[in-house]
Amino acid sequence: MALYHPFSEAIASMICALPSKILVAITFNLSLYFMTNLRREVGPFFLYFLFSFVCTMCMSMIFRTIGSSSRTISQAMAPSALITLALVIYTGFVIPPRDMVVWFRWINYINPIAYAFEVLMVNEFDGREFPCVQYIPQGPGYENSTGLERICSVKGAQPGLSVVQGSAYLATSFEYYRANVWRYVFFPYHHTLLQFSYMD
Amino acid sequence: MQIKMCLARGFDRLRGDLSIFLTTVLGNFFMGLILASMFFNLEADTSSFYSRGALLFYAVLFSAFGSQLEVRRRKLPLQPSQMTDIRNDSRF
Repeated sequence: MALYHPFSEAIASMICALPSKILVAITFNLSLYFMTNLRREVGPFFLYFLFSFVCTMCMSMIFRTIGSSSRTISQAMAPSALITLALVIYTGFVIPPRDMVVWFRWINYINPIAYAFEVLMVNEFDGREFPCVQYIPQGPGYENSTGLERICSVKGAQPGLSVVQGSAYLATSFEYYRANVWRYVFFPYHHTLLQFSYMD
Repeated sequence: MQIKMCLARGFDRLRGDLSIFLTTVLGNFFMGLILASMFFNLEADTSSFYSRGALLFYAVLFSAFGSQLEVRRRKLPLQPSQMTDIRNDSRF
């Protein structure tokens, strides 16, 4: 009989999964980030990479926790499917935080993906000015409107300006703010450690 | 000590069956390429606001649920050679 503590197997299997996770993170995020022309700066790229990876680890821990707390694979699939659905819907993109009904708002607060998504959005938009493409009003008769007569057609726009502040867009449509970012660095880690302590 | 043994066994298993490893890495890489080509070269102006949000949402979801298959339990007994290691180890 092999007598080893489940905890040692848990740690070992987590470490054994690291090479593939790191390799996946590098190949996936590198191609995604630079092909799509996301913010071409050093700091934002590494912050994006950090939070993607931390999010991967955190969710991996959550799934392992579910797996180790159930006896069979089919028993583990039901809660993991349910949790997946809740986490995807309450990340903050499908339903922006301000539109969440108050009795399900807590799902957003315990959702590690939501924190990662918020940081990625702030990381991408904050501190940038985006030139306006489409103005309101538009069409026949409005070609000559200038100055305060027109406004850009996206959220966060201000009358008369030809650029839109990224931070204004985030504040109006998602209520995301730069000030929250570094606070969230600790959340997924904390979550990871928490899940880790539950293992087997 | 136990961790070290399990770790050695884990890497042996990884090396013994590289197909899962390679499938994960290559599969995710191609998914990344497909996803990136859907949002290829976003313009740095207000027309790309919604696309940027959607792209980051997809990216974070892929990162998050890439490891969903880990819910399955993978508990195998130690190999006979490793068992004798444990038996002979005075610490157990």
